[in-house]
Amino acid sequence: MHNQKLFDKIRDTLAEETPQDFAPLDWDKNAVWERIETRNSPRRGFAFGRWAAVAAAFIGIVLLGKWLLNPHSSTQLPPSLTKITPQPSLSNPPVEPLKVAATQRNKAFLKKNKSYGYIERQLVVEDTWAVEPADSSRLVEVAVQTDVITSPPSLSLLEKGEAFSRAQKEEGEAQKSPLVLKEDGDSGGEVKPKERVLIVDIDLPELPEKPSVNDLLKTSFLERFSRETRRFRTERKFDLRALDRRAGKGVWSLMAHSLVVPGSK
Amino acid sequence: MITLATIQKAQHHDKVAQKQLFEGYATVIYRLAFRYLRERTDAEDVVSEAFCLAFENMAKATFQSVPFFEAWLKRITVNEALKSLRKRANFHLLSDSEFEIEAISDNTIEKLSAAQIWEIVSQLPVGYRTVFNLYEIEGYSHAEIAKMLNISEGTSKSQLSKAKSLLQKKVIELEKDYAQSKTIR
Repeated sequence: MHNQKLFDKIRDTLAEETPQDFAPLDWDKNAVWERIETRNSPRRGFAFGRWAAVAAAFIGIVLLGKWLLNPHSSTQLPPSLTKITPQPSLSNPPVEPLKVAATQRNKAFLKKNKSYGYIERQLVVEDTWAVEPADSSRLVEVAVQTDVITSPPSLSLLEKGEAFSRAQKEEGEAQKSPLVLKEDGDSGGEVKPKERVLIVDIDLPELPEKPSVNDLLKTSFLERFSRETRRFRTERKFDLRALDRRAGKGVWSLMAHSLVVPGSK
Repeated sequence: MITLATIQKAQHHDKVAQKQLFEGYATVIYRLAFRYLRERTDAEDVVSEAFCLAFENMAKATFQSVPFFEAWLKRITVNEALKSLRKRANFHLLSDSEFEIEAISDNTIEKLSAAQIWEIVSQLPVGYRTVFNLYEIEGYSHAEIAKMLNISEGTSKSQLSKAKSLLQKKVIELEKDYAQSKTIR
């Protein structure tokens, strides 16, 4: 090719040599480097911010799940339970973490001659807030059975005697309760604050009895008439049977039924 | 001195290593960009863009030696320069025109300085200059050039031929000016 030597020299010069007297090749290297650094920094910051956002979202999800799955959440209590809000006292320091205990005892046993089927269930909550007991004597009556809520048997299935024996047994256990022992030990020193929550009262239905006169007066006329008619018919039936045994045979036996009147015996 | 360890550190976003790479290759990359663009500010933009892209993407690449990295960086720079040329409205190829090719003496070629060579190359039209740079300096084939510039291979060959003819003509003009100046003395 023509002038190949010329193109070889051009190629070598352009690829490797930097002419000193060629003005356009003078440039601001530092300014370009600053521009490169400025462009790289925000992207790194954005990448870090993106990781921080992911971490924050993860922590948020964990906290939300922990809150929703918390067994002590008030949303999991049965709707029939009512909570007595304690009055916090800032004078005493927090004592213990939250504990829930259940107790079951027969109040009728304590009152003996009144109602055997009356069973009271109490939920004792010890909160982190210190609470001044309103009545220290009632605290002694609280029997702590376990540290967790135990599922009680269905009270409607309990017979009176069974409820009585159960209440008697639990009364004995309550007297051996660690809470009671602890309170006895602390009686000389500080009174340990507690929060007590009365949960639910259940009455067993009473057996039906013979209605009294007052109850009869409260009933309607139709019911009273029906009841009296039934009673009169029954008495008459028994009178006729007695009359049959005494009448014997003959003409009188044919007439005896027509002569029988109520109250003729 | 750029070593493979420096490149590997820069791959892990080491600022010092990145600065060393910039110091080592900045002049070469700027010269390369200037050959295509002929404008100082445009060339500086291309240099900054090329280094930013290199620092962002070099962690994904594997370099067996320093020349591999240098070739990779130059390729990025050429692509960025071509991208900048495409943004310009004046990037077009010249129509065919005839140039008479004259033989140039070896004495004239030896007397050509680096500044004169840079000057005559930068005076080439943008289309000629681009194809000449891609083929003669960077070593791309006509097929690659055709793909990069979205032209046919024939067009690439003809543009290169015309670029060479124009360069010869300019060298001859320089020779005449040199001869005239010598006669005047």
